[in-house]
Amino acid sequence: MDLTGLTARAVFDFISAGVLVSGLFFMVVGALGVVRLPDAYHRIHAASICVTLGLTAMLVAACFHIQAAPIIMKSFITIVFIFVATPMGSHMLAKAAHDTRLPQWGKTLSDELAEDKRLHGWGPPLVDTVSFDPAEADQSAA
Amino acid sequence: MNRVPLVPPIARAPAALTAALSAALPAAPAFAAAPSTEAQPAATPATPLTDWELAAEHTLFIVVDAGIVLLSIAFVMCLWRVLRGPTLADRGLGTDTLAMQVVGLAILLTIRMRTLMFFDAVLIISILGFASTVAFAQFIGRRRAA
Repeated sequence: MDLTGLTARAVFDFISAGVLVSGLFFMVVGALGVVRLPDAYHRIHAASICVTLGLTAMLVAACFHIQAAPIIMKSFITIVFIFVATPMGSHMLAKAAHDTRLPQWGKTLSDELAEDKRLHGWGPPLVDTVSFDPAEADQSAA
Repeated sequence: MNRVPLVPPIARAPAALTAALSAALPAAPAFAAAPSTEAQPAATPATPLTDWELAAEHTLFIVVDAGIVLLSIAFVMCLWRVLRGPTLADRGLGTDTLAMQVVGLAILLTIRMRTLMFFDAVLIISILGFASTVAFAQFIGRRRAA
């Protein structure tokens, strides 16, 4: 094989193409999971994990292709932010859905958060347990 | 960093159409080139590209073009989940995934169009997506189960 023209730029572009393929794979699998999985909790899992990995791989591919300092710095900041923010956001979403008693898939084996809430009385009060009495409101206003 | 403009990033309009348009429309005033604060790729190459570099760049561009198509398909799938989603949590996670796919499209456009203009949108859209997810979670938590 003739390797005379194989410079660093060509090698970096090939690496960038490979990393980009893996990132696109994760993005498409995440979207497929968002559409096809049976339950909101399963869908949150698919969206957060696959999108985090896919976006990180795509940013790394951009760093390999455009070897400029501002791009590498912005990619680094974005990767750190995504790795902190995306699991936190999906965790908040899942916890809020569980607090509103969103039903699970029928074949899910256990719901340990509900058991903990039942045992320890833990968790925020539900909105629909608070009854609103108009007569009481009139008394407090007067 | 020397980048060679091998292919114009956007497909050109047909020559007849551009000729007819330039004959019909008055000539546009010439704008002075604004001084760029961003590091732009150099227009003239220092050395011509070797065969391996051309092959690598073409491979990367084929992957990028396929990726734009795949991300568009993924975008439509998540949009379907947002529109159909039986509960509010489904809509929330659908919008989160949509924001992340817009970020991916911005990265692909950065590579494809050889400009660093789109890359500033990456961090901003990811921050906005996180903020919208948090706001959506707060909104769901204050509400009865749908």
